[in-house]
Amino acid sequence: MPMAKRGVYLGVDVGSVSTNLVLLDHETDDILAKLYLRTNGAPIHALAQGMRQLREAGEWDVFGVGATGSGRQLAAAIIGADVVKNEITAHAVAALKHNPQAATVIEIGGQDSKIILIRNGVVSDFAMNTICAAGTGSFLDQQAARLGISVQDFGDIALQSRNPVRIAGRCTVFAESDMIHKQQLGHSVADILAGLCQAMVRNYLSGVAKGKRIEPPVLFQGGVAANSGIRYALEAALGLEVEVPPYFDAMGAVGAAVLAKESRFSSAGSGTRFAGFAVGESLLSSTSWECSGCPNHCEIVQINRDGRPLACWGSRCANPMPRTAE
Amino acid sequence: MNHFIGIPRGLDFYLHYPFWQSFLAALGVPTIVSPPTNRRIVDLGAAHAVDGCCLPLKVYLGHVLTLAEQGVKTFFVPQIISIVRREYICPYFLGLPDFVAHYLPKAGTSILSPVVDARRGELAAAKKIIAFGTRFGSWLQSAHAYHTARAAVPKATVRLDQNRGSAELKVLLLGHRYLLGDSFLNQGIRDKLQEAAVEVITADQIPDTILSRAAGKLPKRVFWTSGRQSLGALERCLEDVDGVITLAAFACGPDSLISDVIQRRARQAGVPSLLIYVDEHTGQAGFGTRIEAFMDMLVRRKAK
Repeated sequence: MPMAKRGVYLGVDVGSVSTNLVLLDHETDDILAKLYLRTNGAPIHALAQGMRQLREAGEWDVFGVGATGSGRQLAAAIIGADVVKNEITAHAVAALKHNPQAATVIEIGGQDSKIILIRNGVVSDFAMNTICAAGTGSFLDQQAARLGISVQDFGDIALQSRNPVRIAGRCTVFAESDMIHKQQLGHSVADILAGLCQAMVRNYLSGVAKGKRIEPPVLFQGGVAANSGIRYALEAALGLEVEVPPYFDAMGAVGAAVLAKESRFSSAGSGTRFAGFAVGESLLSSTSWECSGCPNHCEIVQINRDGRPLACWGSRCANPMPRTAE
Repeated sequence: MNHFIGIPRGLDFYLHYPFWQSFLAALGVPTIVSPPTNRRIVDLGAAHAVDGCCLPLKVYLGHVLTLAEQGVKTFFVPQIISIVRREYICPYFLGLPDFVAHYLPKAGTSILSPVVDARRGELAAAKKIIAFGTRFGSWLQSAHAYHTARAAVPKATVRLDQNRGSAELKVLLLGHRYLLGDSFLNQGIRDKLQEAAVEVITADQIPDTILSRAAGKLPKRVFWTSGRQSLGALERCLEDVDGVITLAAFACGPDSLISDVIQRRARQAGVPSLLIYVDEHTGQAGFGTRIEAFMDMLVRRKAK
């Protein structure tokens, strides 16, 4: 039965660990589709796969596209984005869509973590982890794999602990040696996992939140929010209830879709740059080279669709040298 | 290049280059400045410098070594003790000539190090600089060159309190001049802010007497000149700006203290503040994301 096309805004968040896509209903603001795909080091592939899956999921009329995440430039080039925004703004916008009263957003993703303070519906302060990615999702992935458990079960096992061990969470290398040591002393996996959750929370509060005033309501977003052990440790450390919103693992994408919608209203009449779902079927590739034009040796990246250049970046100047034939 | 005196484009260059250039030119000394910082200069400095020194010092060494590669034999490396009465600057400036000498071949190279010491006031400092100049001419010629050079130094102009109320955002950009002046190290932050239609205010736009008076509001005297100027600019401008961005050099001792005071004062005053540390590994992605998010925050606050 042929259905009328639904008008939607597409939000895309290309992160280090996951690539997320959501479709936001342009009338109701409901999330009509959500994809959480592992980036697996191949963001172009993940994007193409996401586009194919969205096309199969229904008939969509895309009114606008927003891109965010560390790979936002790549996503914008490939699928054609109307808004390209940093993750902090996107996460804050998504949090406010979920709860207009939200005052604190704790976001822990694959390789970064942030804190966003919101007062009166506007971001008032934020911080991201700077030099070190200790205590982010990738580390949990690794440690779960090392202990032979699935990262999905991680939190529930940690919650069974009665006597969490103390683990140094300042650095993942030391945390791992500490964990191995505790295992060898004979502590249970549950106690070690619960200790790890507490260590990660301590590290987050001292390294990222750094004394910022965390006020309720607190939203916990990002892939790590799936881990009930971390959430429990956060609540215990803060003495506050921590809410994990639905779509917690795709809030960046939700925010990007909301921003796309906002920008369409502010610039009515102009068409979307959306390249169409067919981009998922085309041959996407990237080439990179080191520019030899000056001593800066910028790393240039060029994205190609069906052999034709789509976008190029990485240069500090306006005229990078073209790739030299080999 | 043999007879040219090489001036490394780092540290003191961003504090005093117009003065030295004019002083040496008036004495007929040919000079050459190393090229603007690039990846290679940073890598060269970082590869040779001892562990633990700050990024700007490593980059300074990169400039020295780049000049040496170009065939420069004589290097102009002032020894700076103090540039304002009763104040000090970073001790690395004090040891700079010795630091540089360590990395140059002993044979065939020399270092010219005028001593800049204004602890006992400007006159005492001037005497030492004029004495240094006598190796290129008479005392009278050197004194004349000193006065010519003083006149060549651009004056700070206050541009505060203007355009208040216009839609444009005003941001106070704080940090060492050798970070704010080097667009490679600061990743073109000034251009980024200007592209975003932001008016950028820096401490060097404000006369030092005003900075001193404003810094006097702090509970304790700050005896590092750069820190005192940053905090003075902050006290002077807090009410006039929409946000404060501080660039600090990783492993810089004074910065670790001053930047924390800046953060606290801004927070007390309810002015958004962003602190960014730069080092030789600074990724462009994280840097751009922070600036962009900070600007979004200011725009959205203002629209509300």
